[in-house]
Amino acid sequence: MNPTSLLRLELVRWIRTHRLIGLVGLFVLLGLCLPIMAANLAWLLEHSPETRALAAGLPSPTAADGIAAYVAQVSQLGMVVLIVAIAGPLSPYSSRAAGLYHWSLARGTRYGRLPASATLLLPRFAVAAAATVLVYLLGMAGAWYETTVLIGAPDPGDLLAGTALGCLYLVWVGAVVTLIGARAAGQIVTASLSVLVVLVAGVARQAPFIGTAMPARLLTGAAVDVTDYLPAVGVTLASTVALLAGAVVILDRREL
Amino acid sequence: MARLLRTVEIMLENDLSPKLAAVIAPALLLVAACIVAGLVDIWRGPAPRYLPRAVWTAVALASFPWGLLAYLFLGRGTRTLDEGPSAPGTAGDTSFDVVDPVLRTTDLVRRYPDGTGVLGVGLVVPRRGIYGLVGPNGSGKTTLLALIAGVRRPDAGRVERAFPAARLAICPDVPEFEPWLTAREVVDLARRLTAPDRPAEATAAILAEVGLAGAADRRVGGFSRGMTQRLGLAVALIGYPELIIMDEPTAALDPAGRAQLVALLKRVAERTAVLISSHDLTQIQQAAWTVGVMHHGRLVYQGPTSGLTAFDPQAGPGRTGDLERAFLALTGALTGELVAA
Repeated sequence: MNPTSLLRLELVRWIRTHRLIGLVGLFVLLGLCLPIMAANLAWLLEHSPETRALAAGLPSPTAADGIAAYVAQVSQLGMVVLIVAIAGPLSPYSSRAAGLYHWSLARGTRYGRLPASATLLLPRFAVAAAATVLVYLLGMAGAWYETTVLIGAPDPGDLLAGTALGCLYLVWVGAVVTLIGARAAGQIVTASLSVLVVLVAGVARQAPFIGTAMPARLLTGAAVDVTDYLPAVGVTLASTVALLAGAVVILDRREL
Repeated sequence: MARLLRTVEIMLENDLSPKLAAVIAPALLLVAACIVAGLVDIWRGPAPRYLPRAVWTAVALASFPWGLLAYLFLGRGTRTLDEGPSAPGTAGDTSFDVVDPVLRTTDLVRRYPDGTGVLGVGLVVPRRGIYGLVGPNGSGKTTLLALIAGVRRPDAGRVERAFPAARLAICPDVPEFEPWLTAREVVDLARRLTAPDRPAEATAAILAEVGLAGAADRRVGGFSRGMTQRLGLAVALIGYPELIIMDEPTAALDPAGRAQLVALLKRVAERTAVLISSHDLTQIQQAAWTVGVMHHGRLVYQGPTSGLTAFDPQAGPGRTGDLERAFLALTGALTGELVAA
């Protein structure tokens, strides 16, 4: 594949820098391994004298537990790796020299009336978000397979709904990184700040008042009642658009 | 603000439905965004009127939204210059007469908080040839080039180009490209985005012109600095530039690399204007047709390179001036004085 446009350039970036294959490997691994641990948690606890007492009171694992184990790990380790992976592509002005090159490529093409910074940022965001969703889905497919084999099939409707909500959350994370990357001085700063923001957003979902509307609430294994998530969906969609608009404006005003 | 907080308090006290509470969340987000935007403007914007920044901050926070509105409508400052364009040494240097220049700046000003920057520069770049911009570190060369390219915004003054903005190319001292692309892909991508009407064969021709035909299919991550600099020039040339700006193009090169690049720039300058900044006076003397000397943000000389030596204090009848002495005289003894060619 040759980079003949800024969109194709991003696709080539994800392939040639091995970002995509690395993330696919990690997420599929998580998807395949964590349901096994969930299914055998009682057995694992029984084999240690310190935790044997806990095993006795443990309920039998359910299909939702298998999926939840995967999602829980995605929200921690997976999220950090994901953010580090997308921080590079989403920091187009990571150095002055790189910024001048990217600026000179994007300034001649415009999406309608949007500034040239949108030409630069939106393909990067789109590909990063698509890649993120793809690896999450592949990991989820692995988790579904293992869960079905070991514990039993999860309810397909709940699983699909939960997966869709999780994908929406990952797109929001991409928008957060895009905004920070538009302003931050380098990839490391972008990644660090983004992890911090996503961490705080994750903690905020436990808040008694606004927790139900926090985007992090969408990262759920299986959604039994989708209507419970509607406030979070609304906030996530609105803030994603706002974050992207903010990123375009910030990058447009940024000097090199 | 207080009313909103009270509403939140009541909702908390009465344990209202989380769904209802969620409706308030966007409003809270909006309020937070307004406060952050306001504070950023107070601290990053022009100096506010009537009160210091810290006091405006306190006012904005203590009585939101009224304090912030008061700042917006009353206190927000405008950019002012404490030195007018007619100050000595800052006026447009029209004494350097160029017929049909490719670029002209008038009273261009950009100040930084430490007092450095560009302080009223009138640069005139001829349509062909190399224009060498020289000056000590911190004299404002890079800022001036960035203002001309449009990647920084001036506080005052004008940049007039005799060509569309897309026909201006800028190369930093050490260009950076995606290291996982080949040289051919880098130039071809630039062709598709900046000059889509050019045939695909132009990519190979440009690479050959800059001496990278043999490395066209190598990934640029392994290129030497000299090769990267020439690749930067190839990316610039593919877009039919009317003006190529190069900031310290030879700074990171060895002597052989410098000689190659200067020879290449001389060839390019026969068909387009090239504006370069450099510390190397000898190189400028050899390559540039026109020279501008920057000092403390001002242009203290602008004119033919040959005319610069006349400012050597030891030059006289029958004795040719020395370029380095002339430069030192202009940037030392004659600080702040405009010396027109």
